[in-house]
Amino acid sequence: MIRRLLSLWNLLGVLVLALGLWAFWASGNTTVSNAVNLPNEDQKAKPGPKALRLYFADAGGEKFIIETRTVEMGADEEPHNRALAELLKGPQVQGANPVVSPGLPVPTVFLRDNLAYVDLPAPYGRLGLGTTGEVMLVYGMAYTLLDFPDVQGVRFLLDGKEVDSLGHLSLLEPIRRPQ
Amino acid sequence: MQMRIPRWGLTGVLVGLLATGLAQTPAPEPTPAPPPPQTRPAVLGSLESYVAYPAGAGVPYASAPQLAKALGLGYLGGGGRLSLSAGSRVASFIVYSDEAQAVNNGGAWQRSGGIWVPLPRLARTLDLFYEVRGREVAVGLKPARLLGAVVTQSEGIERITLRLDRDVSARLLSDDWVGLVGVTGGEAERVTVNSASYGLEVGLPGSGPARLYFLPRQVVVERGSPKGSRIPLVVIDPGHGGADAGVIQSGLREKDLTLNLAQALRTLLAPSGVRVSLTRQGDQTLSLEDRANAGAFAQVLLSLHVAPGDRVNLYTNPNKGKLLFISKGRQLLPNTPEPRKGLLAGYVSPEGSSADFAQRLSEEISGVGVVSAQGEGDYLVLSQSGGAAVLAEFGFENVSTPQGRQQLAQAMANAILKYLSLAQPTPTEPGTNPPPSPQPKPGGNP
Repeated sequence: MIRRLLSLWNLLGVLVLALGLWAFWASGNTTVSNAVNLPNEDQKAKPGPKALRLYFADAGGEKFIIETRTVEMGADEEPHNRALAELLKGPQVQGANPVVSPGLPVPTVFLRDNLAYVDLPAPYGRLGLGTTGEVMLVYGMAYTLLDFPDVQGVRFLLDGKEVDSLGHLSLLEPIRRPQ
Repeated sequence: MQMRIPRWGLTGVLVGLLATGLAQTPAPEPTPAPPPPQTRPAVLGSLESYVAYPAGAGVPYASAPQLAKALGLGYLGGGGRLSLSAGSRVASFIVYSDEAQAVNNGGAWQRSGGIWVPLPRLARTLDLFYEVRGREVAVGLKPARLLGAVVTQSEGIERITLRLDRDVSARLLSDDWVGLVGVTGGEAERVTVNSASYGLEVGLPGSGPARLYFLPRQVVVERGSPKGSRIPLVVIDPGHGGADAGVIQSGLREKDLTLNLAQALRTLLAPSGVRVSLTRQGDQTLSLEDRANAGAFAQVLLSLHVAPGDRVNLYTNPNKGKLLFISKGRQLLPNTPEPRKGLLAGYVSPEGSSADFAQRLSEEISGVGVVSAQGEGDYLVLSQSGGAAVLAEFGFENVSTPQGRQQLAQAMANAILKYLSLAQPTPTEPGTNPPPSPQPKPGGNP
């Protein structure tokens, strides 16, 4: 009886079943990759000083004043996110004005196929800005990021979702470098 | 010993040397042919073809007619330009016969046998799937879904608006059926939906000759003739409303001031006989897309806003070539005979109309002692307008009193009436745009 149970075919069947169970268990424990691309090694800046070009508003909200600010980059720091964090700190040059109201959270930037996705936290959808304020906010961030050679366009999201507008300007298309 | 060389022998040697020399000189070619461009296999939709790399640059070009056929794209050529479209998205290229010029300027390339277009730029503009897999290049439509259908009746026109999650190409299969290319699923009330090999077939309610056009992420089928189409339509959009109060200053809310201005303007325009429509009658929340749709076929769209300060900003949307039916309509307008010209003018105004209207507004507003500035920007509310469309943003100081609002409403009414009486009889000549303004121009040089 035992010899009949331990036939070659039965043993092979048990082996295949065991392999199948092992494969099922192994795949169940596999970590699913995040939908959002995390910065890779190329995107991370080398530790040390880095010059950032930040776009602030002039007093009349009619043009941008560019401030070049040299910052000390940390070992795991991502330069695009750092640039927006510096932009939100406000200008250090005379005559320049912030493009983002003080106290607002720093947006997160993701880079994919040379397109920078700026995820604006929910409070940015309730700012109630006029056209000038909105132009300065949107284009101040966009131009700051477009000064990075690996950014060819900037697309804005609001609270993780695609957004048509913050009130006036169309955000349906990515903003690109002026021709 | 003296050697004697016969004369015929010397001639023979000379002819021989000449022949040898000629044989070593390369024969001049009548026209130097450029080396054939490097190619790679490509899959355009489901069509197996190839891409070429003109001028040896790293930009893959594909045949525009093949792309249009394989992906169901709109194709419009002529006048040294070529446009390919997917719904309301249009990729427009200048056509060059020189391959190096085409690559350097991001233009199309006229080859023997057709026009070729740069795939990366086309894919980016039309939001197509594009990938280089090893030696092969693949381009295709991204899958889209039908989100809903809205049927509206207005002034003799029935409109069936199909809303989608991205821009798609569509064809009228008959007056009752429209084919949506690359749409993989979805459903909507009031229409019948069938799957097809290329996408979805949608059965439409109602009957009668149908016309098709595109708005961003919408396919619109229209039936009927507009009643009173000869009477100009003015759409006034009181900015913000409902949950969106806009800017608030000293207790004054932007949404209330814009509605008040719009109502005053409607009252002032009423005696002139023009048709006036407000996008909102009261304190309602309205999306920018709905406002833009409401003004799509107006001869004048004026969106009203208020911001801190005492200056008036008048913005137009350059919107160059973004909506194919508007660009095509503008192209056809000068040479279309009556009565079709009248019908066409109901949908599109001549090139530069928005700038002309903004100029009229600026003149009338400065007439009441208020300074205004003009600028351009990609403002969503103006993005679908075939007529003259302006976003006017007043300063709180201009409109905080009833007298100030009445004065400015009168100035706007004068500008609208002056613009309409000028705009109708003669098409605007090109080059009537005002010089660039010092105001911020989103997308322009910072």
